[in-house]
Amino acid sequence: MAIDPRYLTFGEAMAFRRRQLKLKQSDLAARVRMSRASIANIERGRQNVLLHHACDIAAALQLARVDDLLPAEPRASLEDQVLAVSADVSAKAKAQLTDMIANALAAAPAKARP
Amino acid sequence: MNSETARAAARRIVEEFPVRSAPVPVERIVKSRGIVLQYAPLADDLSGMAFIRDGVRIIGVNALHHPNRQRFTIGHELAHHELHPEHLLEKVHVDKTFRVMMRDDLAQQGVDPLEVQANAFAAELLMPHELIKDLVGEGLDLDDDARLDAMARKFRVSTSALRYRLGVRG
Repeated sequence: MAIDPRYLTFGEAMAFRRRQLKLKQSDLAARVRMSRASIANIERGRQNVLLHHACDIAAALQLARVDDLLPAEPRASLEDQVLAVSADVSAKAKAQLTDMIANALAAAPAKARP
Repeated sequence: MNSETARAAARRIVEEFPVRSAPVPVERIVKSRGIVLQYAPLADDLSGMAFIRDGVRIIGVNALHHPNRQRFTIGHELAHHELHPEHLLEKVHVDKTFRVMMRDDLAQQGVDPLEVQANAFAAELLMPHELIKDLVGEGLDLDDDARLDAMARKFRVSTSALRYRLGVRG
């Protein structure tokens, strides 16, 4: 079975961070109550990680967000698929609009929210 | 809702803010209403957009266009937020080149009434009746290019937008 490249990326990021913190696979395993074999498999992309494991692993690796272990994707990609636009525009224009909206949401002061 | 009620909505905003002199601070007006304003380079045929996501009201403006045109775009997008926000929830409302140059009624046939109203609103907002009436005085020759240019500069609008505004009585 082919490994989804996202699990490889996740595993690599996880292993990199673990070494940064000078932890052994067994140390990390103990912190998240998983077997060392599972940690090894996840690091090599051979085990599909569950959401609660991903959250626990990120926390054990002192990362504020699970995001930090996820493959970097262009911010627009996901929203591109769902962004409905009132007129026909090019794919490039759609990407520009998507970025514009993302930036607006990032810039929105708390009072602009309901 | 028609163009007259659209203009009335713009006049209310001018009074509330309040706007006392030209040029109308359209950017500050938008921000004072809690709308997030974004400038970014967009494809040339796109003037701007209006959208509401997660309760955040957004206006986007093509940063590559002339500043006067950007001001009109902001007014036009503000109109969409003020007049019919329900159209901004499902889809990003994008505005391609506005047809403000079309002064006669015939040319506006076939144009979406929401866009006609938004243009009427924007023109009233940027060139409010109260500020323009003194300048126009007893009468104004629409062919007096020098005078129109001077007025357009004062209001920081394009001369075509000004001609559109003056073509509308009131």
